[in-house]
Amino acid sequence: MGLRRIALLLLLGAGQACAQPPDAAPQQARPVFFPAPVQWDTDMLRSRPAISQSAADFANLAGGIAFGMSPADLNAKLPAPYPGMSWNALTLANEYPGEVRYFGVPIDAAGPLRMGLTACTGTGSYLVFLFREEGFFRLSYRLIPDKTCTDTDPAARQIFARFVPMGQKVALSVRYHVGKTQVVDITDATAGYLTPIRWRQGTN
Amino acid sequence: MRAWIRTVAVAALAATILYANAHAGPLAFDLPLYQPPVIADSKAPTKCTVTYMIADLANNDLYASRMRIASAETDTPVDNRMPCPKSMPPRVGLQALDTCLSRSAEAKFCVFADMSRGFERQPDIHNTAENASRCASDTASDIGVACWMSGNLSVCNVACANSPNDALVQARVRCEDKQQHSCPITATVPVSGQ
Repeated sequence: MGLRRIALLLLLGAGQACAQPPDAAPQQARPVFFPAPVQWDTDMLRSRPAISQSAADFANLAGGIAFGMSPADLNAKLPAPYPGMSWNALTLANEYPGEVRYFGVPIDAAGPLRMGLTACTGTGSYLVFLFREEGFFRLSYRLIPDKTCTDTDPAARQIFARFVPMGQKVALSVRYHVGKTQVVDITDATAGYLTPIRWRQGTN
Repeated sequence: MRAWIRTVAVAALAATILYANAHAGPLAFDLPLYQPPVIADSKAPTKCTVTYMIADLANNDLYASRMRIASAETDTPVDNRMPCPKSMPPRVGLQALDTCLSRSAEAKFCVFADMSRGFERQPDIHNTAENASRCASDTASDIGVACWMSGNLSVCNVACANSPNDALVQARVRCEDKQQHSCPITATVPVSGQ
């Protein structure tokens, strides 16, 4: 084989290597969330939720816990209840105005509230139950990455996906991150001025 | 002998009745009572649904926001699909956007998912197209989206088609044509859904 022929083959080979189609990058499927559908009238002037949902739907999803429950009642629903749970035994949640108290459980001990997670969560991840005087009003997942689970975003997405279809007249689901901690908050739709308040790391 | 057998039989019957009564508690509430299955009319025409693809830039999340539009009495199905309005008022798009606004950390992170070229330099809703971010069930069965990553930001485009694969392929073609980038991140969902 002559030198000229070898050079030609090398040139053709280089040309083939560079002519990769733009879709050579690995494909990634992005999850999509499905909020409850909205029903519009024919003129598209008025809308309402297309599906009727109630507090019972939230309780069914959340392993029997319901907004408005007392700390003791909610604690009793957990797989491993704390002894002597009461309002006065709870810690104050300082980021909220007024008196809001909370307690937390490791996500591994959350039973059905793990929401059938298959993605990793990090060993320090936990759930927080927040209470006002009227009762339980927010469930907050705090997913903290560590050496064994460097990214908790997929876990946060899995949890969030379970609550997004819940209508906003029943429970408001919000997803954000504080530093590297992924947060998913599920809030009672009647929580009023407490609804927009977000967790700030270091406050609880 | 026959009288003795009759006596034993009567005693056994009495004992059986007494035993059965002693164990007859109230009915359990969780009996698997028969419920007739809900039968969907598979031949009924598909009702009009307009699905918007909404992006949350803060979390790189996508929402398929479904708007069902009631048919007028005069509407008739075409190819077993009820017609959808030819144009959508802005309030319907805003309602679709609200599904993200109420779930994101900040309102500015929620945009329509069909983005203009150069969106990564000015990532706001003015560089997105409401009408290209939705598909109507009378013309498409599936909505696809394809994105590329500019750092931590997803830059996406949307397409409508009549199969999941076509929706995905067309979204990628649209994204790669418009953005001049490979768009390997994809998603596709039915327009009508449940």
